[in-house]
Amino acid sequence: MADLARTISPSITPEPLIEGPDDDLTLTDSVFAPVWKPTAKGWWFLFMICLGGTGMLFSAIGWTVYKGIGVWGNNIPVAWAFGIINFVWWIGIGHAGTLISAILLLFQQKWRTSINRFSEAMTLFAVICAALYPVVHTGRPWFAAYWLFPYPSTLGIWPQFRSPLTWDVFAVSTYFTTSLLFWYLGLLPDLAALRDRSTGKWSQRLYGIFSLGWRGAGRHWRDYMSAYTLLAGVATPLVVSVHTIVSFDFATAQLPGWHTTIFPPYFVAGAVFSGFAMVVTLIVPAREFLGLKNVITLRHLEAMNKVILATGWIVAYGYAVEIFNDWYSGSRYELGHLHEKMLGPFAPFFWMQMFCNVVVPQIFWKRSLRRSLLVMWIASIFVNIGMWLERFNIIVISLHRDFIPGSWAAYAPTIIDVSLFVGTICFFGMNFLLFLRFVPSVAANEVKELAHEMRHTHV
Amino acid sequence: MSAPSQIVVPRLPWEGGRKQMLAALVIGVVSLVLWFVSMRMTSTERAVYSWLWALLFWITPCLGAIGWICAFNAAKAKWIILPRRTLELIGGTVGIFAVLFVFVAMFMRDIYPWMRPEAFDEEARRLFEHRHKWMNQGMWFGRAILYFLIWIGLAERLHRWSLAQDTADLPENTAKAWTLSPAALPFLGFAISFAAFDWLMSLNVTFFSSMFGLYVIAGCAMSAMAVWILVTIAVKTPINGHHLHSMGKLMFAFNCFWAYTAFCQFMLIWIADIPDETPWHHMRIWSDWRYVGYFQIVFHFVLPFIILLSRGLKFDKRKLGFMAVWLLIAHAVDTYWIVMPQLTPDGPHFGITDLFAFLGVGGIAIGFFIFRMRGKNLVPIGDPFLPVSLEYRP
Repeated sequence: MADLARTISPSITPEPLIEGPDDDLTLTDSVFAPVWKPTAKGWWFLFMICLGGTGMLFSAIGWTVYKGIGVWGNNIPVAWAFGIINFVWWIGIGHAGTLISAILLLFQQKWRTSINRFSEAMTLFAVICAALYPVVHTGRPWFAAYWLFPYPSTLGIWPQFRSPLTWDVFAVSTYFTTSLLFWYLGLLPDLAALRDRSTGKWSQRLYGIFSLGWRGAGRHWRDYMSAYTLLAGVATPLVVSVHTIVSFDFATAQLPGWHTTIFPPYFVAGAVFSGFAMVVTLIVPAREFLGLKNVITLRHLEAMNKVILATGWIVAYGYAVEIFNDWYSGSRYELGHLHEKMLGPFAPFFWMQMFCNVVVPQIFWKRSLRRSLLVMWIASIFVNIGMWLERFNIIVISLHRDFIPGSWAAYAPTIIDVSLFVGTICFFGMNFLLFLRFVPSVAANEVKELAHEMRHTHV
Repeated sequence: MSAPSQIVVPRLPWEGGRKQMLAALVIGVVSLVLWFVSMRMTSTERAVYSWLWALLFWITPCLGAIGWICAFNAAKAKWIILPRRTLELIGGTVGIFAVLFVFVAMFMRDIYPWMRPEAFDEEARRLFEHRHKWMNQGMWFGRAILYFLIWIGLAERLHRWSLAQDTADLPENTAKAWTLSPAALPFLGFAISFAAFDWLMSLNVTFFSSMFGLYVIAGCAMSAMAVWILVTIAVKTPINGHHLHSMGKLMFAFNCFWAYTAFCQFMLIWIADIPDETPWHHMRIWSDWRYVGYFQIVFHFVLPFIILLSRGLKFDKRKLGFMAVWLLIAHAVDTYWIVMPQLTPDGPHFGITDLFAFLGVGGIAIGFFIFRMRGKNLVPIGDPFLPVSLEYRP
């Protein structure tokens, strides 16, 4: 390796994935420290805000159930609005977890090890937030199982198996189950380590129960590795299938703006784009406050920004070919939609979407900006906003101009819509803070394994 | 660091393949002449359709190879370095297609409906008029030149940087390739997609599909990997089983991606059932072309999917080589299914013109490819990360 190091110029020499001392004890201590330390005031402050927001969420849900979904801003023709916009937005955010865990594992990307646990947890909480919307949108959540659960249809009326909404229930529930298993399986060795290092009686018992008798025996590791790889193999097509089917919710329709064949891959890429942006939004402050800068290095953050740039280009490709085909089709409806999108009453939202999703990620071509914490954090928030606007534009702009001009209508969300949306953000934040507090947010066992590997090979 | 003892990296330029090169060139040139003769015996339209199909089949692995090199460089992948030179040369073959494309350009009037609007009804003429600013002969030519400039420029630039490292200590060329490649990927993606719109989608009057470009790109990526596997085996690049396994996995993954794009495109058009979009699939379903479609479902996706799931198979040169040939045959059928139904909507009529076009384009392309391989070291011996690639054990 010495010969190699001499011949490689500094610009192409990779930085280490773990900074500072990388012995097992130091790594375990630094990764577990946030769990052992007394709860910080800042954590309580954020938790109380999120708890308050969660209260607002459930109040808004309660009001919706009490009064009916007429309290939302939906109308005819915009019969689908914030509910589905936020559903798709959250599902998209939930994609980064499985992508980092499964696909990067299959691609042998070593940099995933420090961030996979973090993003898997994010996936779970994002999918829970997403699932709230269709359940509440039924208007009568106690019937949600009947409306949504795809059980055999003896009357041939419901569930409608030709509807992508039914496929969505299959896809999202399978995705959630697999993500949960994947996350939990990865946690087992660390939960066992927490059990062994706990001093309190209750924490020993609780971590003991959740670690399912893990002793770190050779047989445990062998089974663990095969199960982990197998779940990665299962999760990979699921990442693609979930957002593909979400895109079918729109693309199977005949509505201009919804019906375009590029939607499946463009939705998947958009989901990864927004998921990674959310990981950056959360991980930049978290690594600072939890003292995890030695394992979540600038190289990790830079790699994530590169993924944002790459998926941003796929999304931009989707926008471009969609616009081109709308025009090329010569269809008066497609052309009308294109006109509305670019010059209609919601046009500022469209151009803002273009700015956030196409223009802003281009800053990541420059290495120094890819590595600037403040720049990447602000850019990631722009991407989150841009991806929310994308869903808003797909849904509202396409719907608000019906085929019959007499049915045209504007759309504005109500305070309940906004409360539900802001409430899910707080609910997500609350879950995430609990996760950071009680579970190691970095997979200690994987980081230690990587450290061993780094000592013996050139990673 | 020296290479592990079991791998011997050839340090001398490759001088093999002379016979194969000459045979390919002779077959290519003779077939080209016979294709011309068959044009007189059948029709210009028939012959140009065949040529377009052959061109599409043979150019797609080259475009895919350029894309793969850019993608590998963008990811700073090091395992591919040992077999990379042949991939560069597959991409470098794209130059010959700029010459072979002349026959499509010369006879474009015979195949593109928008070139002869007078032969169509008023509705179609209105559509042609709407598209005229984009879809006219001058713009079409201009774009074709631009596509070839992007493809050739990119393939040559990356190949020359790599080649220069063979004779001089130039680690900065690796850094340059890592910088250029990600920046080039969007241009490459748009160039292939818009070439697909210009050359293939516009064969049909009404058809439009935003997925169509990606569908062609998926075919490019899969076929490039298949050709690369075959060439790597044929020239005996000293790769280990893990290299082959990873190449096999990528071929498998992109064959799945091809099926994904094909299915989504078909399903969305079928389920929405909008009159403007459906004719393209309609003529492929409600005619004898449906059997070609069934063939593709089974032999392009289902069976290769099941077979390529095997891990052991992807370590075996002979078996993986067999699957690469299989998928290339399926790709030939797929490209035929893309181009030819427009000419014979009732069903496939594979004729001698198709064969001559296929052998003509293929023979010349393969001859040119071997010609460019000769005299070069088929392992990038000067790449600073070659030792990492030699050690590849994921």
